[in-house]
Amino acid sequence: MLEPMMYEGGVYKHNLIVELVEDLGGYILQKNIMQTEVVMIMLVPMKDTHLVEDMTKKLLGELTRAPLSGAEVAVVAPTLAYHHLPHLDCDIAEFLRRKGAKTNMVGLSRGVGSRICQINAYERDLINEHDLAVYIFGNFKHCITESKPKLFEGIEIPIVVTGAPEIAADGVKNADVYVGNLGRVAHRMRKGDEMHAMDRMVAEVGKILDKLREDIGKDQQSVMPPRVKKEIEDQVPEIKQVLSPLPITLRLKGLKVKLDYDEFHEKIGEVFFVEGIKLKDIAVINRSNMKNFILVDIKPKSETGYVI
Amino acid sequence: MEEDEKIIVESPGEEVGAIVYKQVISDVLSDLALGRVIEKVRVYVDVTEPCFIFVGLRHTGQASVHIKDFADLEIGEYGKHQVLIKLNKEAYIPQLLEKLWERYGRGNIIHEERTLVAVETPDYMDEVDILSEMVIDEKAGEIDDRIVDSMLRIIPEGFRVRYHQMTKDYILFVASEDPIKQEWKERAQAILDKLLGEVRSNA
Repeated sequence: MLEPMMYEGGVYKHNLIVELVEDLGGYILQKNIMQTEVVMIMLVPMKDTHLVEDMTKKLLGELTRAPLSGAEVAVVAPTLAYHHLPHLDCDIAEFLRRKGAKTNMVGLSRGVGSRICQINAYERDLINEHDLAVYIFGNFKHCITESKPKLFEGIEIPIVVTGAPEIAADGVKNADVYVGNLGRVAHRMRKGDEMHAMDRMVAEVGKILDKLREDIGKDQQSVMPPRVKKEIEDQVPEIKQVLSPLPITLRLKGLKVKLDYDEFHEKIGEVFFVEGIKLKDIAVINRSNMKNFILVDIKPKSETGYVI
Repeated sequence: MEEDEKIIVESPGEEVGAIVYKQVISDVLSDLALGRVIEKVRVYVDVTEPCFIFVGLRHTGQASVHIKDFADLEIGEYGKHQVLIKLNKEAYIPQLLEKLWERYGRGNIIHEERTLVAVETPDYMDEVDILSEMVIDEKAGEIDDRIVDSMLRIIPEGFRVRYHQMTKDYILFVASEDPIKQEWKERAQAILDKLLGEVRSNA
């Protein structure tokens, strides 16, 4: 089992951590260097975490668990107007990122209003590409329980809803869980109860993702997504030219490769493993709704018959 | 006393919504520095209808700023067709230059010293009087813009059908996603009348 962890520390000698994790058979999922600071999200074999902890102490860094690592979360706002952004939505996205998730903010084109709100097919497909969606709603109970559930139509992934009023966790139709105290506000989240509500939201997201991982674990994936990521990085040199902060994004079911689909999907399919298997044999390679990227869904063992 | 509170939000069946909305309103007003401009706010929201009524009382606005308020004007030296503007305050230089460029053209404005602007014009005798009365900063107009901006930020985004009144004493907004009903307008008017009555009785 691999443990998702986040390392925060100085740039000086951080390579020692990278090498240690790779030597232990772990993976570096994301490395962000900000001037003299570095933040790395990585997967470390569970029984060797103490080695990484010791090294972190030596480098005067900080090691925390990042339970949301390897998941892509959609943060959905009714629109991208100043009524919703930047405070609440960005704070929620940032909180999810700090726990290791990759977040994408989705602003619906016509998500506003109670009777008039709607979601279109493209938005629906885009949201369905993620592992989980966090819908951020407003301050009125009637609106959240009666009008907005329209926006969940056709969404197949788990849904977490936030809003201001206190509603039972299962009080919103077709949503998995509701988290209160996070309604529409026009200031930054910094008060105690707001921070507490954010922590609750992250905890709920973590719980759902753990359950999803458990479900996937029952019928194991033919190959672990982080291994595919490493093989793509080694075999497709063009990925190094991609300027996105995360050229290969991990999802629970597979990964998203930020290269043009038409040009590169065959090349991605040809990526091979030392066991003599090509990626296209054990994964479905699709076009992503997001900027024509490549979406890789890894097939489970029940379909391929083996795990590498 | 409840009447003395600055912002009151009323929403039948939505107590939490009303409390949070009050916070939204006070955040928006303070973001746009309207805290001192708007004296009292009364809001009524009914999400089942749905309708949103906003009534606010305004303080009487500040006067406009003329050039003579912050500068001395005189005619240039003998033989030069100039008006000299000697600034006592530097705060309005950007707006002043903007206005002068617009009226006389960039080439005719000489601004070599920080506190001295020379305007080249053949009618310098008349222009010196016109210039001293020129309005440089229109506070009232700018505040009106900010109030409208704050309204658009406060009103729920989906409520795109709007009815409004704006005078120098009050602002009244009714918004919904359906056509505005007469009874909502009447309710808004009643809230306004009550608010104006309170102010008069206090005065």
